[in-house]
Amino acid sequence: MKCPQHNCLTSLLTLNYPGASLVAEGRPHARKREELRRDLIRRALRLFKSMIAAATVGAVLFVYPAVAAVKIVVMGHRVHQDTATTGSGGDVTTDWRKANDADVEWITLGNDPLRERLFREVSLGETAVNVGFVLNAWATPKIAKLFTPLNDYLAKAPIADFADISPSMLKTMTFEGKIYAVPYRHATQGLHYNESFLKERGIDHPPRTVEELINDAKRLTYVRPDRTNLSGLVLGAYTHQIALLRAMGGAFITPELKFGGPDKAIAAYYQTIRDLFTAGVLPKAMPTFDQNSPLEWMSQGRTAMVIYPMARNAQMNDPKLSKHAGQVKVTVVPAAAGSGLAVAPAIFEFWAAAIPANAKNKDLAWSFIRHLSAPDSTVREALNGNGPVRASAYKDPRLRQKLTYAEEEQKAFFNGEAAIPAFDNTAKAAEIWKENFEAAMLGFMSPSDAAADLRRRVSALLP
Amino acid sequence: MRRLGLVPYLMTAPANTLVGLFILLPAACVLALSFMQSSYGLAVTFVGLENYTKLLHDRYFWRSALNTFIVVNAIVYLELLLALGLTGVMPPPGPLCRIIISIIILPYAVSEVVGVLIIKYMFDPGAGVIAYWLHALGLPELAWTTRPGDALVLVILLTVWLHMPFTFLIVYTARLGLPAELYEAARTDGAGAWQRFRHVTLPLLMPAILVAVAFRYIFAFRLFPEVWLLTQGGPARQTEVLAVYLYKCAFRYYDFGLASATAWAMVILSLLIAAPYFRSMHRRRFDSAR
Repeated sequence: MKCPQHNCLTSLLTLNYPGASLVAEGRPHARKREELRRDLIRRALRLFKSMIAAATVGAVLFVYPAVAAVKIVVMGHRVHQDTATTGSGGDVTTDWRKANDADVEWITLGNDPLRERLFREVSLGETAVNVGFVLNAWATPKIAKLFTPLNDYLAKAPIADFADISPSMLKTMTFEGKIYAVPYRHATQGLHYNESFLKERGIDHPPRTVEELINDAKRLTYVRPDRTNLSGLVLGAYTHQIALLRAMGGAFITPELKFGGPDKAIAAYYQTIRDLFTAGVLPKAMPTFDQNSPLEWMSQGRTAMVIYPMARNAQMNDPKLSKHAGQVKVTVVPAAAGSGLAVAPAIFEFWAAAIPANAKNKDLAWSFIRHLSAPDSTVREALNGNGPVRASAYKDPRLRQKLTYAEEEQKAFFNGEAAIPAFDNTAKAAEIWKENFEAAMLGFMSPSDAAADLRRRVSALLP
Repeated sequence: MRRLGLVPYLMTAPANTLVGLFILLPAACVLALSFMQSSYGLAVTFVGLENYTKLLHDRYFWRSALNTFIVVNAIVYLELLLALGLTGVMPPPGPLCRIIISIIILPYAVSEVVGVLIIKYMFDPGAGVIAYWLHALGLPELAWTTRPGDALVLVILLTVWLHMPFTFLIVYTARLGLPAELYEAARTDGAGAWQRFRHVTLPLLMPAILVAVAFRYIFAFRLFPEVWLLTQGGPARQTEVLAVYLYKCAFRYYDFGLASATAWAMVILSLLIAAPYFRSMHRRRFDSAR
């Protein structure tokens, strides 16, 4: 039937649609537009329906299994995930995942963000985190109560050869007779030295006493043939500074939470630091150093010796990261002559695995920690670059072959101690230590005044 | 006076809701927390004014307040002088002018963290290129790692370099809007360059200058990355500013009550400093309306 006005072909059978009135008025182009519009709407609806269908299928195939599968959430530093899963020791978690038909979701963060995020998680009513890694310096009595005591778990499903794990580290994680975390990774301070720089100055062996260390540091402060201003010794964070204090026979805060030793020992230490700084042995940039600065300086060849975690020796000798790969050796920090000690008391820091008090599925979390702490797992993690917390790990031939400093580290770590024992004001004590160390080094306070001030202010913080 | 109906309030309600949710509510929560003792592992308990008392008796708070006062004033007025100076010597609008403006505002596009780290390495006492040339040219050393005064000088220079473009853009834009006839009239009357600047440019630019100064005071008061990444408040806590002090209270000592009290102390101090400028702007607005 033809359109009366425009003489175009129009079907009057399709008059009951929204544009019908236009067609009735004899406007076929409006009808065409209307048809196109309806066609577009139909196509859009078809597309939308297929998207919904695809999303549903995807959810069933991928999301639902992931959501439905059993898993634990582990929050820690990237190094924990790496040492547990990557390296020549293989993926330590594989056997556990198969045996429990469970997955492990790692949430890794840097030190400060990890502390903040983990503490917020454990302060909530409930958390999705099943296992959290805590640094020994964070484990104060207040914080420990936010985690689950592990004594009952140890009784029901003990960790194999538990006594092999460093007792001093376990003691740090024990409050009122309850163990709150199991040590996983340690970093014990050692003395790293660039052998080629020592040879350049006619020194054929690393220092064997702390007095020799100080004299060698003075000799090793010079301008090298390539015009590098070499510093004889570098100390970074308070852990390294306190390691030297302990080597000299002094003490800051004892494990019994008493202010350690007479003021004159600390004053003598501050005087040594001041002398080393004035002589240019300790670099001018030292007050601005962070945790990684000694590693950078050693790798760049700007210092001859650093007191730093032994495990970092690998990075100092990595050709991709260091200009002096293969030249940096490590030994224990020597003790003072006449102290009767073969080596200085070792200062360590360590990480431990804990279960938040507000976590779900604690049995599974304990099973995971137990697996990571097993003797064979510990060796495999050490092969992946971890600092093993078991004495027996150092006897394993695979580890002795891989770690050139295995013997030195074994000597040091088993009887080591934390730089500052954990108590509720550890952070403030560390801050006061840093302040007075810098004040004495830069001459803002005399060594004896700095020592007396340190005792007065820190004693007020101790329980 | 005509009474407003409901409609204007309803129309501004979405914006006011956002302001309330994201500014007023958090501020009120922080204020409430400042009267509490709050830390991880402890129940939150009301302690009244104890946090404020602790703050006022802490010599580190007063030292950081003094450092902040010195640094902020130096930054704001140095930026203003530089911005006015650059505005005065800018070429007329054209391609050269556009290139120069791009160069001036380039530091504003640099991330603060990246900028601070670059400056830190350039001024490294043993290996930094600027430290090397200062020594080579026989100029005095900027011992920012060992002398607190020098460290604050570096913080000031760094902050001015990073943030001067903000002041420059406000002042320069205002300068472009000044009528040329006034300058012609001044020249006709025999006014020299300095007199034209003092009696024509400066008075007319005053509203823009007040805005720039007020905003820079408020922003500069929150100075943190420059100090934290350079010195962390050292050596021996001598270069701490209020933001660093607050950070340590909250994220080193986990004393959230004391940190909240510090935050409100910063708000009050920055308002006290900015208040005369806001008052002056307010008075000028009504003076010009009469």
